[in-house]
Formats: sequence, structure tokens, C-alpha cells
Amino acid sequence: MTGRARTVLLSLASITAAVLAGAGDIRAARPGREGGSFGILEALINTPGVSTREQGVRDRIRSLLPAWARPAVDAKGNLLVTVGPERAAKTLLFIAHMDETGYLVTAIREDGGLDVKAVGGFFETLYEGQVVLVHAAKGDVGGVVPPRPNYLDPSAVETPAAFGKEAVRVDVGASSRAVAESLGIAPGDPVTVPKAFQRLYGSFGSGRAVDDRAGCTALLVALRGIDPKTLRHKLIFAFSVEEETGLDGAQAMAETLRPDLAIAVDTFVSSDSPLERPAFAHAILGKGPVVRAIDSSNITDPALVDRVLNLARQAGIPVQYGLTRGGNDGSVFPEFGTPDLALSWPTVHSHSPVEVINERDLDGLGALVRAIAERW
Amino acid sequence: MIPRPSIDPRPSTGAAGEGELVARLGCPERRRPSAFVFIVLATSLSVWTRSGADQLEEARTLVRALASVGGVAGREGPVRAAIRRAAPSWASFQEDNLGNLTVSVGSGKPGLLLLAHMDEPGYVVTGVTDQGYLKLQRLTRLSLSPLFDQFHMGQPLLIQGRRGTIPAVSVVYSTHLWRGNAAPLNRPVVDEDLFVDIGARSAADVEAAGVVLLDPVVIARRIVDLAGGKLAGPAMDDRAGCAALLLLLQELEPAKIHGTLTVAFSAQQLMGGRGAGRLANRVEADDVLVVDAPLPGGARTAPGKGPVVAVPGGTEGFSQEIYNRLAERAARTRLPLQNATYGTAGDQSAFVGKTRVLPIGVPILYTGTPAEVVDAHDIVALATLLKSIAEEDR
Repeated sequence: MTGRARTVLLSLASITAAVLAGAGDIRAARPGREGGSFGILEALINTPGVSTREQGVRDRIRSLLPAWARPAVDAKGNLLVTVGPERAAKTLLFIAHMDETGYLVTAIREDGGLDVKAVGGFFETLYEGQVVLVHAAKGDVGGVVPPRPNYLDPSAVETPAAFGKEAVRVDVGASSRAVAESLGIAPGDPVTVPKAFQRLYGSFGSGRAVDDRAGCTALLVALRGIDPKTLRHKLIFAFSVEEETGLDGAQAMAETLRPDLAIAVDTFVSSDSPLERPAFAHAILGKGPVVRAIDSSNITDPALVDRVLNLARQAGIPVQYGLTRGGNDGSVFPEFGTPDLALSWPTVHSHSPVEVINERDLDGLGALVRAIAERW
Repeated sequence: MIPRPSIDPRPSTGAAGEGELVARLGCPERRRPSAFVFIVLATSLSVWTRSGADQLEEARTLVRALASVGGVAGREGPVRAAIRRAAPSWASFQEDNLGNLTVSVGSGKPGLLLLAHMDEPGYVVTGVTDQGYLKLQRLTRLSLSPLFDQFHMGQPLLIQGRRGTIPAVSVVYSTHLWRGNAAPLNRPVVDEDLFVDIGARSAADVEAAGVVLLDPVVIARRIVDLAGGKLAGPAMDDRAGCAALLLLLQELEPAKIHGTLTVAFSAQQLMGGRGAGRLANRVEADDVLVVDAPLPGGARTAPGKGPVVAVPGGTEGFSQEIYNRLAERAARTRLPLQNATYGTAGDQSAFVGKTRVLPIGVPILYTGTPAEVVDAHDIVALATLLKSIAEEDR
């Protein structure tokens, strides 16, 4: 395969999708579809959780678990829900990461300005001259990322790469370090854009940290759908920390857990955008979840890919497969003998404030995770 | 396929639904104002009916209400509607065919005109691609930051459609797909680079969503509270000025006005003061105070340290007489004033050489970005000063 994802479309599934989409389902301003996965996604996206500061997301996920779930938190901070027969022949591990890219406060200057460091990879100009929130101990404090000093001069565009790294600060309007501290701000505080998931026309939605709250949503949808008493396999649903900073949460799990299969549920960065080249990573938004067969961190056994495609076909879930860039939490498992399978939905504008997702893809991904959990 | 622009005979419904799109954020700035503020407020309490803390809260509420709607030049309808909603019930507005709003109090001479502009820089929809993305054109004649288009790329936007506000995002490169390559954002972004996604995947979708050519487009209204009564968000230039004039109207005692006071909210300032040009021919005024943001990059001013005023004596033709009166009033009421730099472009251009005119306003940080910073204390102080001027016996 040269990169162009193929769409596996089944007539029955198409009809189902069409019925789900419905004629009345196309106004951006419409209320959320009852039972759709965006309801969960919105709650998770609006909760900030910059890598190493995932507490809020962990609490939110805990509140969305089914009543039977008995969540545990490991030493690293990963949240795990284990279910199914204890002596099952197989153990499947599903992982989605709770953390997101953003900034952390590193120091408060004498003049009240905040030094920050970027966490994870993103175009830092997306924060230039924009409002942010510092998530401090006493509550959120608004701030601004000041633009480059010469932002009004024609020369500003001559050195666009000059913005970023040490040049990035946050101004919370404090005139001194003491004022900033009186607001509860301290080094280590996370900084994000104001998080507000926004539904768009059709079944689209957008926000910061669709990556990987959508993965968390798919796991929650599956957990809420399964009947623990009917499971054949032992299942571990893991919500991991620190994926964006190097898969550290998953690494901690890989060193202690020995599942038979690690299934990472994370973004498929798609080129389905007028600014990208369609020759690579071209999974179409709205055409179903994606089996992320190859990425920068992992090459999945083709037999595993085929098995997922067959399962999706049996379950009537339209599904795509392809390859893209980026790593996934499952990729730290093969060195311990556990194969890695990555499942995704297609997203554009990765790591920007406006990652876009289609609800049908997320509904399908939740159904696919559940189908694997019940029928693998 | 491209939807044709059509004339909608219905009256503008204003900013339907836009209020919901404002980020509902905490108010961490509800802390003790500085000692200087207490002095300012204590000395000005005699001329105000509300307490100082209430005024600050009202100023913040007004700025939020006005900045949370879009008002691209020539399409200021949502701002007009927000002003009408916030104005006192006695205020009977006149609206001319350029969209300027005016309200007059008193009669006869002398005539005092106070005006603040409603418009902000933004875009209009100029095209729809076959895939359902919108193309844009900037709509302003005054110069902007060369980073203006970059500030809008990869950000949430709002389309002010005729049937209401439609949320959108502007398309940006995926960082994952460009790692190790020449980073695409390491070059200037221009408006032709912007593709706007409302969730449509065909031109027919766009039409069904209610978006048509020439619909105005602004950045989403994310307004946050900073330390000590400051706010940051888009279009504080000049919604902070509009807020000061509304605060003045709310507190005004019409019986005390000497001569005629006209408070105006002007359209199309960014097109070279076109609305103000109309006002200059419509309103008889001996003195004009243009309430606007100072030029960035001029004299250093700071939010929280008092209103700003243009310094006469240069080639701009600003009135020394008004300046002296303001300075004297400010000194007498112990209101701080900062000298600032104002150019001749903008609404003042309509009055220079015809009548006495002086720009005044509140200081703004990061002017021209979607995160302009203003301080509510300055807005209250400016309204206090303007009230004092409007009620003085000239």
C-alpha cells in the first residue's frame, strides 16, 4: 500500500450511518445528539491536562465510568480498569492517553511575567498573541502570550521562526512576582488555550486535545457498553499519562503488565485538508475509524490488521486503514513480547487549538473497541 | 459551485446566539483593587450614583458584552445591537444609513460630540471551494500587524451569517506531517493561505448551513480575566471606548448637561473614518472627543495607570484648548492621565481642520492581536472624566 487509505464500506453499514446522520442532524447549532460520543468528548476536552498534570482528566474519566468499574491508579498516574475473567486465556490491553500538549510555567519573573516551556510538539506561533489560561492552585488565571516585540513592523514576517522556545512568555497582568504569586501561580502550573469544544456543521467538532480525549472517549464508550459477565478475555482499559512527552506512562505499564495484545487508541493524523498533500496519510474524516497499520513508531502485523478489518465488517462498522506519522503508546510493548495494534479516527490540524473530528468516526471507533473487547 | 449573494429583506437580527460562544471563565481578578484605585474612586464618588466596585464590575460586564460579538467594518450590526441592549432606557438612538448610532442630550450651544468606533478588523467570505471550504478577504484600509493573518490561522472563528452565528475553524498544517521538513509556518502567512472549515464538505453544504458570500468573519470571542481588573480578548480596540461611553450614558444626569451632548458609536473607522465623516456633517459640535485606542509603538502607556490622551502641538491638528480643559479637570478630580500618541488616520480625520478635536481613550496592550489587554479601572476613570467634561459649564 502506498499510503492512500482504502475505505471498507459495507452497504448495510452505509445505510446505518445514513440513518444515524439523519436530515435533521446537520445544523452546527443543533443540540448534541442523544447518546452520541461527542457528549463525552466535550466533557473531556474542556478539562485541561497538560502532560504530567493529568489529574483533572483522570477525575473526569473516573466520573464517567460505569458503576461496576473498579478503577486503580498506578504509581505513574495511569488509570486502569480491569474487567473479565481473572483466569482468561488472553489479556487485551486498551490504552488511550489523558495528557495533552501545552505549556508549563517554569519561573515567575520579578516583573510578574511567566517563563514557560512547551510540552510536546506543536507550532508555537499558534499561541502567539493569543489568550491562554494558567491553571493555578486557586483557580484559572487568564493570560496573554505576548507576540514578538516587532509584531507591528513589516520586519516581523522576515524572521517568523524567531518566535518560540525561550521567546515565549505569559503575561497575566501581574505587575510583580508577588502579585502573580498572590493569584496562586507557581512554577509547574499548566497553561492551555481556553478549552471549549465546538460542534461544527454536519457531524464535525473541533477543539484542543481531541488528541487523545477522543481515544479516552472511545474506551469509555466501550466500557459503558460491555457486560462484564459475558466477557471471554481479561481486559485492561488504561488511561495513560505523559504520552506526548515520550510515551512514559505506557512505558511504565509495559514494564509491569504482560498483555497478549496492546491496542493503542489514538489520533490518525490525516492529510484530508486543503493544506496537506493527499498522497500520504489520506484517511477521510467521516468515513469511519482507521486502523493505523504503520506509523513512525510501529508496523503492525498485517494479520492483525486483517483480523480487525474482518471484525469491523462483521460488526457493520465502516473502517479505513492506512499509515501516518507520529508514535503511539502501544509501541513500547513489542520489546516485551506484546504486539502493538493502533486504532484511530482521522483528525486534521494535529496539536493545534482546532483539531477537527467527525462524530461518526468516534461512534464507530467506540463500537470497534467494544467489538474487539467482546469478540477478539 | 458558489452561492450567489442575495439581498435579505428582513431586518438584521443582530448577534443571535453569539453570547453563548463566549468562554465562560472564572473571574480570578476579583481581588482587592490597588490603593491608587481606592483614592481615585473615593474622590470621584460624589459624581457617581453607584459604588466604585459596582462601576468596575459594570465596566467589565460592558466590555465583555461588547467584545463578545463581532463587528467587521461595514457589518457592525451585532455591536449596535449590544450597545442598544446595554444603554439606559431613556436613550433614544438615531441610526443613519452608514450605521452610526447617536443619542443627544440637552439643547443649544455649546455642542460636545463624544464618539467611539464599533468596527474591528476582520474578513468577509469571498469564495467557496468545491470541498466546502471558505476563502476570505481582509476588510480594512488602515494598516494592521503583518502577522494579522497568522493570528487567525489554526484558530476558532465565527461567521456572522444572516441567520445567526456559525462556528468555524481555520485550517492549519498538522505538525506531525511536517516534522523534519521545512516548517510551513516559518514563512509569512497571508490571507490567501486561509481556508475556513465550518464542517461543510461541499458548496451545497455551505449554502445549507446559511453561509453566503460577503458574510463577515471574525476570530472566536475568547475573553479571559487577568490580574487586577484587566481583561484580554479581541477587539478591545475600540469596544473599551464604547464601554466607557455606555458607562457615561448609564450614569449621566441629563438635566445637568450644559448645551448639547451627543454620544456617537461610529461605523467603518477602519475604512478611514467613513462613519465619522458622516457624523461630521450630521452633528453640530464645537468640541469633539474621539474615544479610541492610541497608536501602538508611540509613547509608552500602560493599562491600569489611567486614561490616555493625545498631546497637541504637533502637525496632527489636535485641540490644545480641549487638552487643557481635560488636564485641568483630571487634576481637580485627581484622575490620572497618560499622554499618548495618536495618528491622524481614523475617526479624528473627519474633524481635524473643521472643529476642535482631541483623541482620548484607554491604554491597550498588544494592540492588533486577538488578545488585546485593557483595564476596567481605566474605563471607569475615562467615563468619570467624560462625565465631568459633559456637565461642566463652558
